[in-house]
Amino acid sequence: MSDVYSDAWYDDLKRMIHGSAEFAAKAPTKPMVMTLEITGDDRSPYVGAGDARYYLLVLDGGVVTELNALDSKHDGKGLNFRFTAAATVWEEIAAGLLDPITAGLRGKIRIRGDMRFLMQNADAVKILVDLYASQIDTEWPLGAPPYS
Amino acid sequence: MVAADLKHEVLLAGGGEVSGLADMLHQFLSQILDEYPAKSRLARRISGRMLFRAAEDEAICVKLSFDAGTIEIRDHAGARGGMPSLTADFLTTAHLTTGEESPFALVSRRKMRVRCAPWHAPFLVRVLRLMRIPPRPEIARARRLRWALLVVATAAAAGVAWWLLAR
Repeated sequence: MSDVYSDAWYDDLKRMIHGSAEFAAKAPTKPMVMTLEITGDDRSPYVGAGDARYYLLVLDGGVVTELNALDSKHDGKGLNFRFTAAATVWEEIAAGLLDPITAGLRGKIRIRGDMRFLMQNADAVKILVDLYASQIDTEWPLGAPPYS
Repeated sequence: MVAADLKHEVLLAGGGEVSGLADMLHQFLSQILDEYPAKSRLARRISGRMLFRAAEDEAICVKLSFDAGTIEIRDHAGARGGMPSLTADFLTTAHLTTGEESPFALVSRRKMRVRCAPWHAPFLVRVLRLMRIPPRPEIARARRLRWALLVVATAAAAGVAWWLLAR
């Protein structure tokens, strides 16, 4: 169990990706580079309104080669995708309250990037978001979603 | 300078307040039309309107309007209004666009639902062809090789059969 957004929590996510035989089987052969952008809102106790967190995730052959917090928004060079959503949305997904694919289709998560690559690697992306959504045992020190 | 038969425009109606499905379809169609001249030519030969609905949440529905190279994408609420419609989930849509599965197989397995009048069928087939991503060069080569081997094997079998019958 680790606190949401902590280094240990992201290490757990990395371990789960590496432990997923399903992801290894479907992972793209070329590197997949993406950023996760968490924009603060007035509901999340973890990322306040006006604040933001940025993470860079690089996968190569099914292995996480980078999962780092960024100081600022990525300039987009070399990115395959940019996933942007309010903190409450990411947290509801992490708590298993919101289906990430449906959130993407509704526009709660904005996806920017190479849609052809996304379609060609949809199985791998689905496995990744499902891992994020349901398999980390998360501690919520400031309270768990849904927020009132 | 873009050749006249390659001119196309993919418009997203609704600004920043659109569904993710509309936004992704807009990016997808813009990107493949920009990248593949054959797709751009095909888009100029398509006219008509259709609905694309997300199976995960059928309230998420997008209207695609094709008019000689201009494609308008907008969120749609309400009745089908006689327009043809496709309903599929995210993975099914991905498998359809990459050619991993044929639309007929998806319909027969009820992974994709199609509602249309018979006279809409040619229009839908053209739209599905437009949305299909050309295979990567190595996959296209492997497919051509498979077909060539099949043709050679069939010709060889026919030759052997003819020789046996002629003896």
